[in-house]
Amino acid sequence: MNDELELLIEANASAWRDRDPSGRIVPPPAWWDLPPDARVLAFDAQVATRELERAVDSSGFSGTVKAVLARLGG
Amino acid sequence: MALVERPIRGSLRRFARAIDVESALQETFLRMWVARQDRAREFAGENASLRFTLRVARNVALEEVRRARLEHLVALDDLEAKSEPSIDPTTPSDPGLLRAIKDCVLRLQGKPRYALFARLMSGYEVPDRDLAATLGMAVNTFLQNIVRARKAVAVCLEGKGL
Repeated sequence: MNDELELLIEANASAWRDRDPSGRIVPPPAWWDLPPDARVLAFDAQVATRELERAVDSSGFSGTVKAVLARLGG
Repeated sequence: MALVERPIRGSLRRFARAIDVESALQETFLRMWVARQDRAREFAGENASLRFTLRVARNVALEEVRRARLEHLVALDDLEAKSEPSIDPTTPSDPGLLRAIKDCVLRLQGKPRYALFARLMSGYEVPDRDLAATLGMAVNTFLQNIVRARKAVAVCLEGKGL
């Protein structure tokens, strides 16, 4: 895997997601730059990142859970 | 939500070539929360809540595939033939593994440590560009440091025989 692709994949690993004007949760801009096979690698990076987040969170929550709770609370 | 996250995410892997699964999963949980507010709805039977969430997740994913017109990247015929989504076997989080991961993360040093900690602690509510700016890094440098940190954690876990 080349460095550029590695960074593109990492740019999709965060749990932070923006919303479009209609309120729909949308992928990061970098997602659209990924070829289909690399999107599967981005999925795997998301899985790995969520495990890291669970490991260091005192409640064992992943970034996904915390992002959704933040939206519900906000 | 935390209990069903892993099997629901696993069930969406088949869509990963066409959609951003993280976005679909968050949308699924938001819809699930709305459904939970409906007191007339009952979740009865074995794994009822999980099965309901699996159906919601599949519908969200199919909506996104069709919106992006990327049906050719997913085997939709196979999916639509099944009225009930299957629960893929998902290994539960291993407390011992999570402890080992935490130990390895805590051993990180320097900029990779700062970048990964910023992502792990605040990445759910702060975009990478803002985390990078807080650390005085360009976004690409921030991402490079996270990649380095991730590799160092992997080496550390290998050293623990994991």
